[in-house]
Amino acid sequence: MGKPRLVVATIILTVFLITSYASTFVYVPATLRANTTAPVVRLWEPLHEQVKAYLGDNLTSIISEVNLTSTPQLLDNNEFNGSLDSWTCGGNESLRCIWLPSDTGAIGGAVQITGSVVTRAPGLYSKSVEQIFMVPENISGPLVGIRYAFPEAPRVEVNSSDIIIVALFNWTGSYWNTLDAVGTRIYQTSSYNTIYLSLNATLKPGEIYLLLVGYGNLVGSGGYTRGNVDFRVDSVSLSYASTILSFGGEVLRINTTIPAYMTILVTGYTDNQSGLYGRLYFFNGTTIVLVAIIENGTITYTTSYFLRVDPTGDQYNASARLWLEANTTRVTGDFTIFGVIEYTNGAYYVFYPFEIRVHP
Amino acid sequence: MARATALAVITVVLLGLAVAVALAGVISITRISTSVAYTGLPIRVEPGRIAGSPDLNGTIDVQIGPNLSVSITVHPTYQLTAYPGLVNVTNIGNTTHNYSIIVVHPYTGPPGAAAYLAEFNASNGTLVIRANLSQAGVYGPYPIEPGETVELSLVTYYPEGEPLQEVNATFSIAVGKSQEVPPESLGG
Repeated sequence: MGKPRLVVATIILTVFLITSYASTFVYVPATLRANTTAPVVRLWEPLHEQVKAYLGDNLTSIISEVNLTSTPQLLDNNEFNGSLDSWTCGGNESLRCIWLPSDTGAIGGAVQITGSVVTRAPGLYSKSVEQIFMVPENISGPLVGIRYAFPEAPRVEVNSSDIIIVALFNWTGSYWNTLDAVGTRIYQTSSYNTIYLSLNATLKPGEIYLLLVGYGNLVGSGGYTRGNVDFRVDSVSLSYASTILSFGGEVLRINTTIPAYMTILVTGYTDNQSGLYGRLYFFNGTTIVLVAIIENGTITYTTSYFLRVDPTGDQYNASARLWLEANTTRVTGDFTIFGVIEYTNGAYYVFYPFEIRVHP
Repeated sequence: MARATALAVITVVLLGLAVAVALAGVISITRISTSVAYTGLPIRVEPGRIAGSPDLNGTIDVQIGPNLSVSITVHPTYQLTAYPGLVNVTNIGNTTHNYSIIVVHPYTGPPGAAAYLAEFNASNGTLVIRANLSQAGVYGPYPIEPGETVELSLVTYYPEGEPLQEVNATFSIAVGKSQEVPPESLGG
């Protein structure tokens, strides 16, 4: 190599070295270990006869298909299948209320009110099952159907009678206001029978209602009664006839094994000339949050409000649920809501996808 | 449906983290005090605000090693799990630095699983870098100003139906003075 070529090579090498060391980086090597774990929050299928649900393999996603009808059922889990879940079963010092997973002659599960009554004074022994619900449109005179058995009745000594009590309440502010309460006399029977009672009440969408069904023993003036009670309810329905197609009830249920803060995020929707009107609500057992408003096939309101959701302590009862009120005058067309259920402890955030498909 | 929807919302999740972390104040967080300031470049690396907090199983573990290393252990579940604020990197010098994430192999996880690092400006919540941990490469750079803190967050996606197994990833945080992109080969 001649001298000039050596000089050129030296210059090139020098330039290269200068360029290389001009960059000064600090490298912080990092490793991530994601040790995946089973979900602490699981989605459950809704217990409503107008909804068919498709759950993901690990209960962390769900597609709910909602069928609109002109004769909607307003109550969830109205046959007490699998659990009481959205119903509350109440007792008192004389009677207790329990859920039966099955009973002879019953379809699915049943509710049993049992115990003994002893009274001379005018009185009413009533214990009950009750459910909170909402409605998709203005309703007048809803019809309550009760399939019941009464295998053991207390002795009617003087001037007393056994009755089924049905009461409808409106939750306005912080108290329940009775809209209508009716009672009808029943007689001892070991087989299940169905009765229908029309309620004199007007219900409005966007308001919260409670339906109570119970056993009572009325004792008139100077009357007297005593004995054991065994009153059973196989199913309760609350329905009405409508000129439009509608739905009111749960579209998914959520069960958690730890306290968590949750919100429902609506991320999108598709509308195929549904003409749908509706509202989506998130309910944690004590508080209801309006999640979305649908107006003529368009979502016009959403929120991301967080609710605390606690375990129920019962593996069969949901911790929270998503409710839908929806109606349309069209007999074709469909509407789909896309969203995620988000829960957090303030450090981690988990997101499960859901779809709600609404069609006639 | 689940995966398509989940991936569709991942950007929403990333952008929403800065807002969602407002709930962080409702829990008690044990902060790990370990931090390391490096010679050569004036940066400080320390565990983020969720380090040591309860995870879906166990705790969110962030260790800053004495020899310029970060070790993160989390316990995500199916679908999307996000961890905002795992590690903080602060420019404690007087000049602007370039900040990058260098993802290197090996990455292990079941088919369809994904993990993203999201870098936020800690003061305004702006997403400045998003790095796919399953794809090797250099993500960034982002100019980190004197006094500015960049917050490293993580989003994982784990598909339903897959048996639970570990997802592991290796990456580097690279901070340099120059405008050049750091060479990927040095990142590991």
